[in-house]
Amino acid sequence: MLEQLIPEYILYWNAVGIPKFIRVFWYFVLFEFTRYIIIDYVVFAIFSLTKNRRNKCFAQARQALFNENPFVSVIIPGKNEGKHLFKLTKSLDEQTFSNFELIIVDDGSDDETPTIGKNLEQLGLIDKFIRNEMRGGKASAANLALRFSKGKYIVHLDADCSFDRDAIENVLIPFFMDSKIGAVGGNVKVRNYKDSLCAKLQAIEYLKTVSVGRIITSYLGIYKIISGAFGAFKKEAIDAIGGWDIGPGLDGDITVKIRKSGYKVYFEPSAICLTNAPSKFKVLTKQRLRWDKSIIRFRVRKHKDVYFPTANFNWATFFSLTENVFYNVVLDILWWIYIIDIIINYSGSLQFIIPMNFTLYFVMNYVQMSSISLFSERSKEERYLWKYVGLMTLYTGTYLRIVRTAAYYKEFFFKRSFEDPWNPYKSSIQAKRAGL
Amino acid sequence: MFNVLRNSDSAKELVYQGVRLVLVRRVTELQQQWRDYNGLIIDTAIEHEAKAIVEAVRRAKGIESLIPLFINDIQDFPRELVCHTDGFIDTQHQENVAHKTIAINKRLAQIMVKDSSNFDEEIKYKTLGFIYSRNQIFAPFTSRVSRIGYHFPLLSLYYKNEEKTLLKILESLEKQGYIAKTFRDHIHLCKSCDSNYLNFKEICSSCKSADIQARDMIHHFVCAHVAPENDFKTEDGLSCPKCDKHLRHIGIDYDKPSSIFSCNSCANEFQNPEMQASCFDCDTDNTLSELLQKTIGDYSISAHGEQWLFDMQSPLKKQIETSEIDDGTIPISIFKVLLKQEVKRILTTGITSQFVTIQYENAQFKTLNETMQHALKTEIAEIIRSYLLPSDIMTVQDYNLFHIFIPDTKNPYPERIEHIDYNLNKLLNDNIKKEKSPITVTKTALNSNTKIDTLFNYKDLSQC
Repeated sequence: MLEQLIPEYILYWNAVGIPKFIRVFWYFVLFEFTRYIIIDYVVFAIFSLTKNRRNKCFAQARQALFNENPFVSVIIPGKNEGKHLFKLTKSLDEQTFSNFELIIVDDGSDDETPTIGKNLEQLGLIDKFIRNEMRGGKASAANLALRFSKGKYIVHLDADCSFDRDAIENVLIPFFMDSKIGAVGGNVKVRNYKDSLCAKLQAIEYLKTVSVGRIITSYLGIYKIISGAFGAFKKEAIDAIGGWDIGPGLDGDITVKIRKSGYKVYFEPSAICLTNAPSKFKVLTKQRLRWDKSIIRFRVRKHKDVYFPTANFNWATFFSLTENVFYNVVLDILWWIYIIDIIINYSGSLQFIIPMNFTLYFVMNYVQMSSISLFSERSKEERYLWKYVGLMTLYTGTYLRIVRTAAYYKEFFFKRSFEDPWNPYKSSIQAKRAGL
Repeated sequence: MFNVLRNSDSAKELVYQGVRLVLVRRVTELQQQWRDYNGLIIDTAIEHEAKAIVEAVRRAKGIESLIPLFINDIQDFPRELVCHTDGFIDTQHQENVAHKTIAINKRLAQIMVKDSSNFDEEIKYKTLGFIYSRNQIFAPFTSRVSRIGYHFPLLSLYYKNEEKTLLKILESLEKQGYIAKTFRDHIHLCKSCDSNYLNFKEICSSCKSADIQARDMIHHFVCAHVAPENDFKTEDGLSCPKCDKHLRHIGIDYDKPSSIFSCNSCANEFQNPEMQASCFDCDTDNTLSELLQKTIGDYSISAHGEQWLFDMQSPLKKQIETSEIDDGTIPISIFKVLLKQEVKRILTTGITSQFVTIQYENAQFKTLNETMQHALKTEIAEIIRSYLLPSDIMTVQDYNLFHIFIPDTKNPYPERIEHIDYNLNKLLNDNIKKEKSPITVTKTALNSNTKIDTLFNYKDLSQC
């Protein structure tokens, strides 16, 4: 009677035994389950055990921050961001930490941004508005802001973001926990998750990879990317490395550069920033192609020295990049090998393998979502997303994997990131020639 | 050619086709007789003498001051003086002068002679008369002598160092429809002294110092470093401080996307300097928004202006007579019709109605210009109206003379008229110096024998 209720493919895998199950689902068991379930829960267990110590350390660092009350430069480079500026200044007005200057760099906007920026500067809502008539790319705009910043710490923001009231305070606190920390990444979440299915799936993805994923990697000391939307840097650290280099993918690049210069990089989950994610799959595809290409360009090519035992070799940096490249590039290749393996060796059992695979990922996604709830400070609001978690198998397992494969192929063989209009051609061509 | 007739040792007269022009060398030669000529010719090389002659003639009272006034072309005077005359003439070969003189005098003759009682009225009269008689555009010209940078024919003689008032006069004339303006220029005047002699300069947004310097920004393509040019300068040329590469070729290695100012006083660096206008005359520093902006135009007389010159009918009176005004009064012509109708009604019904006249008297009011009188009248009318009932009818005969018709009342002195009398007296006593009450209220009970026209025969009490 009970057997009639259980799907046939479940009974099948129950009957064939564990060795064959592991043989067929080796990709899931070895990589996905280990990384996203076992490590997440182990780290959470350690996190829970050390919670009091961390809280005490955080409180002491907070006190140290307010005792010193350092001057901070908040820099916002961008093009055609004028429409967001007034809201942004209002959001920053509400911050609990207020000893900062606000520098906006307009990177050759062709809309009303110059007028809006100058007006806000005259009204005293912006401390410095600098406009480049000719677009130079995001890195050059950020470097320009850096050149005129006077703060001891630099907070880099995107103009279309909004922030929790204590976001800047919280992103600065880690600098007072460990003097070797050179950069701190903020916790970026999706604001417009109710807009479309595309935005909802990204909201779940951000919770998994950005929020929880970065807590884990930061705890393990291998945190690899400070989001351009919200990150803080020690001025001396960022000056020492010469600021940002040409993108796309400049936020990941600068994180590696800071690591290589001997500083630690930290993720602060309580420094919350909300941003708008693409609400259409077409736009999302373009964005992800750009991001994924940058892994090959920076992690594989530009910073390949990290993998070799040079004088500046550092294990944390090595593991950081290795983890990143392994879980993105290597596993992507392995996934295709896994597909070929299944087709060649088990083509007769596909009617059992495919539904089981979906079931495994379906269950894993919900288990993972449970771990997100354990970490998240907005778990009640995020319950709205639970009903869409089942679709993540298709979203991350299929859609994003195909996009990623295409990006790696284009970048590895054709260096297409240098042709991306996201960066001006005049800069990209020079960077390509210089092998950057 | 003119026939030269010598009248005396000091003056000579030129006659051509009946046109009599007199040559004047000194202002002391100007006597009452100059009004007997068709025109004057300034015949001196001494500028201050010429200036004195121009001022004596043009600032004289009445329309005669607009007499054709020429300068002998062997002399050379600044434009600021010549503009008040009718130009240079060649006394030997200038037949056109006679024609020009005749034309001006012909037009002057069309203007009704008026004895203006106040200065504003006189200026208006002469300005319109000048534009009309010269039959040309009244065009100011740029001049450093003027504080506002523009010099006006005739009017600049009256408003030396008071050019803002001059512009107000023209604005007022334009607003009243006497002249039409064609845009020429915008000028900006100091907030303190109305001078146009301003030094516009960029200043530091922080310390307001003008000691600032602009520097180009350089963007090095290959490493995305951006900084002021100084940061890149080395003995060998330009070198990137971030990646040490030599910058050789603009457009290939680098570009200059913008510039930035740095202040030598406070070291502030900024891209948008503030603008300041410092006045050379009074040393006041003005921000641009503080400057007073005025429009300069070329003016021509309108048909309304010409009509005013011809018949001198006050637009105020015309307005009162022809249209209802927005202060609760009706035109006097309609008022009279209603009054006649009321008299007929009294004849048949035997009812009683009252006719009240309110007049306020003061010599000070008489000296007000027309605009001020109109404003005063409107204000008083509004006050009176506020006490009246909707059935009461009011009209205005002059700026200081109001008539009220109160239908169907047996009370010869209604309470509301008492209130009007008391409150108007208080208001005017508080604002003018006069020992006796300035308000006169006259009441007349209407009956079937009332002669309507006799009710409106009022003398000008302000002369009392």
